[in-house]
Amino acid sequence: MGSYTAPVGFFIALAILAYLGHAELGYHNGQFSPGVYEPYADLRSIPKSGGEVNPVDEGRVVYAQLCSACHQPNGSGNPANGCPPVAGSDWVLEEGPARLIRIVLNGAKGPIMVNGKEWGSPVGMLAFKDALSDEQIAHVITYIRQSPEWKNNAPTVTAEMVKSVREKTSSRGAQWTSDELMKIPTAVE
Amino acid sequence: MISTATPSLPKSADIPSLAEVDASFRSVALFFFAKAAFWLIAGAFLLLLASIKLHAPAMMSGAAWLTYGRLAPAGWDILVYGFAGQAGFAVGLWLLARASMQRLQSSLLVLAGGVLWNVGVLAGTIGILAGYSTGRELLEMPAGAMACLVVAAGLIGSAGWITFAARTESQTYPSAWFVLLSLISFVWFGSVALMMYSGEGPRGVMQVLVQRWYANGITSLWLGGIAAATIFHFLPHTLNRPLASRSLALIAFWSLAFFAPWAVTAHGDPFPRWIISVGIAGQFMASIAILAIAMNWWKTAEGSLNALLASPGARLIGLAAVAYVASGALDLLMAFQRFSSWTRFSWMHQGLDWLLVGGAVIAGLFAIIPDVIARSTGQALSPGLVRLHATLTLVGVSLIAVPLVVGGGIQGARLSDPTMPFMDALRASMHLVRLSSLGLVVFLLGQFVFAFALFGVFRSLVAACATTVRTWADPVSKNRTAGVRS
Amino acid sequence: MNSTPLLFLGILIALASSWWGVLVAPSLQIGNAPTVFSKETGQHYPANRPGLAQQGAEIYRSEGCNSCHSQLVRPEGFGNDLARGWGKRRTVAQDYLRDNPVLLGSVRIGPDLSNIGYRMGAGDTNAQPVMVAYHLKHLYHPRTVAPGSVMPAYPYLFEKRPIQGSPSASALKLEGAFAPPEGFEVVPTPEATALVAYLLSLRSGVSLAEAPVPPPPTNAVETATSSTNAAPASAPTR
Ligand code: HEC
Ligand code: HEC
Repeated sequence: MGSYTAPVGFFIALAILAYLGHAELGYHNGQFSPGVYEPYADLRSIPKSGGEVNPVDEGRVVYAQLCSACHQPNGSGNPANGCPPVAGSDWVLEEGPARLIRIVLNGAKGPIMVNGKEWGSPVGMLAFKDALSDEQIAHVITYIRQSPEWKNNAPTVTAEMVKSVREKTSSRGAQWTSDELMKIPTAVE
Repeated sequence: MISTATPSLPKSADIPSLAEVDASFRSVALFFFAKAAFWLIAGAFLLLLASIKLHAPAMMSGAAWLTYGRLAPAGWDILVYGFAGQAGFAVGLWLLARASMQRLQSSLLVLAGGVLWNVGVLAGTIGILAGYSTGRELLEMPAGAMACLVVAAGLIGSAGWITFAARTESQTYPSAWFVLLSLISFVWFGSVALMMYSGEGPRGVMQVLVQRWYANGITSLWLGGIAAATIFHFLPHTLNRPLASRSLALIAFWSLAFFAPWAVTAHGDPFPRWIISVGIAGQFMASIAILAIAMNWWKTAEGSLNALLASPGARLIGLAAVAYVASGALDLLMAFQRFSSWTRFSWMHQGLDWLLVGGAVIAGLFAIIPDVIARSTGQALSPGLVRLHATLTLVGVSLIAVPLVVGGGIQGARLSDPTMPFMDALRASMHLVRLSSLGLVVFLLGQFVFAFALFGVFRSLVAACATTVRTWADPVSKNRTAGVRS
Repeated sequence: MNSTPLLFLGILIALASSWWGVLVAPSLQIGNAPTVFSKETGQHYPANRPGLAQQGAEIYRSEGCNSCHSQLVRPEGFGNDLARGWGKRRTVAQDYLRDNPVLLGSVRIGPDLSNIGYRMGAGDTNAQPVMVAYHLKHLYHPRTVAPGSVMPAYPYLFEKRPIQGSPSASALKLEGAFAPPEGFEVVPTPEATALVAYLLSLRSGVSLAEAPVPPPPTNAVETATSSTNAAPASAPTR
């Protein structure tokens, strides 16, 4: 068997690995507490839960789960299936949310003008009235109206507004068309 | 060198010749390799089916046992237990016996263990395909089948340790240490895991820790130990020069044995932070072993790398060494948060498995198996077929592992953009997955070649046997010959 | 290395050390963790799964869904599981307390399923039938609802049978190439129904002390500038 001695480089590498292992245990041990999980370093740094819910952040999650497949995560829409943009859309940024709430409640189909360009599809967008609560609809709409990522900035929509529109349109089963929506005043009474 | 105290050795008259050591493996080699070759074909076939189903998900979807979620784990378990473990036991015992200059002791134990092992693998495979999988990675086989495997490994392992204890050679070799470690490992990890799962079993994520501890332990020590042993044996042997450093091998051995089994957690796991830190720290420390091993092999081979291309066996051992070190390096990278968040859960996971099990273990074993067969039975595999098999295995394994690792990288890079839809990232890597299915085809073809070559050995053995019987029977009565033969 | 018993003992000590550090110590600490009371839901968390969902978990295990799907959400800074909408918070040990086996999974050929019960349905009871129909169709043949999906079809969890009298209420609404031949209908077996009940029970969104549902920054611009944010300084940004 040979008598080769390893070069200094090996021992340096060895020292680095040993240091990394040591540092990992030294700095990321979460005080060996069963209640400390990444990304928190210790018990004190964990924020208290149960504070105010932030509609934009609640809505972001709903959007990511339900809307992003069609409207795309960046809100740009998808020309391939006629799905219009929501980022910067004149429908979304309209002062009053009455039409917007109706679209999310019952869905919409057929041609639709968004920012001066024709979009839409015969299948269109499906209804979410059964899938989402008033609160969630308010959150997701508030998110698309105020998303900081898209620099949208329109007033907040509340669950009460959604509730009132839901009651008014409760008998309706069909999706909306652009023409029908245009006849409805934008403000929610 | 550490050889100072010499245990009381048997008298020189008891020291067997190398040929006698080899000959003591005859039945073990034939039994283990024939079964292993069968399982390898079966396992590769199931994995190929599973992989094809990724491209044609509705194909053959009518039968429950043919669904991806059953085929893939069954195929992989067969590869690991049916082939790698089984052939690994035989090759390991052979390395051990040669290093100890002692005939295989208690070979009946080994054969009994072999039978039980195959019963376990068969029962386990049927169990998984029939829907009785436990769902725990590498522990999918139902508990009864696992218990068979553990007992069988205990029988085989004790024969190994008995042989080592009866050694007539005072100097021990690194290859022997790694085999001994490997022989203990399966019994240890398997029996503790089974015991912990029995009865009520652990609650919640403790179940995951037990499973990870088992899976990591058997891949890095049981399979990895055998891979390291074959390379530690074969590299100096082929290059015809001594191993560069025994003390480096010693460092590698103890750091592997001590630290590798700690590396069970990964970034992002649902465990308290300190448990993850312990695992990550273990990974850093275990990398010391990989570094020492890589350095030792490199220094041994440096300057005569051409010799690693000279024969089919040498090429396979070259691949095994590269794959072993590469999988160790990827493991180390995974200990870094950045790399882990990027590649975890991607195809790289399968790529890594293939690097270690397909590259380091299977290729390494196949570098030695033809030699073991030829020496222990006196019948060599056809050299042409061995060459063809080596080439197909080499190309097959590389074609499977490399695209999966690269594909995982691509998939991970895409997924690191949160606006990239999940399926688009998957699609962007699917062509590489297709390439790895092709690799599986090549690999499977190679294993048919091996089975065919092995069949050739059996045929000539039977022929030789018949001749012996005839010459023995002849003097008694020429007329009885036909009767004896039939 | 020349004494057999010493070598044996050395290896055993090496192996036992990891057993102690990786299994025994954590088990002493979190092995007996109790369920916790959640003010948010007014119940103990995690609750036992309903019987049907429990049976579904067995199907999930035996069909090997975990070979493609994970059930863990990593925290911010460890991949963007949260940004993908796979959960409101990371998952922690508490979430898995009632699962047996716990199937974290190690590859994601399909999306994470820790919170699939919230996705689309969001806990609204009147959304349940819609969700059930969706999942059943998806299991029967994923491409009915997800074109180009590589997830296997599970037709053997369904029964294709001639329509007797009027069509069954539970028959799947299949169109085009996926529709059964005229006069036939596809109805879910009890296994499929149980599996879907299990999927809908997969929810780990209750805010926990160790993993609060983040009250995240009010908007992205503020995150960049504010240092008094609730999230700790060590939390990496997306
Ligand atoms: C199945 C794909 C699909 C999904 C999912 C979907 N939409 Fe739509 N959406 C459409 C289509 C298509 C239109 C155009 C309707 C038409 O044809 O008139 C549209 C139109 C809209 C519009 C009006 C036009 C515009 O771009 O300003 C808004 C607002 C909108 N969707 C919001 C949402 C929200 C919020 C969600 C999630 C709760 C959602 N959509 C989910 C397909 C979808
Ligand atoms: C071959 C890998 C594979 C297997 C096995 C598999 N899936 Fe999937 N699964 C996928 C892929 C890919 C997707 C994404 C495309 C789609 O929605 O079909 C998916 C999607 C899903 C979804 C929808 C997720 C979402 O976010 O919309 C559910 C639910 C699901 N699978 C459940 C299951 C169940 C239950 C099983 C076991 C019976 C299973 N999967 C087995 C690959 C797989």
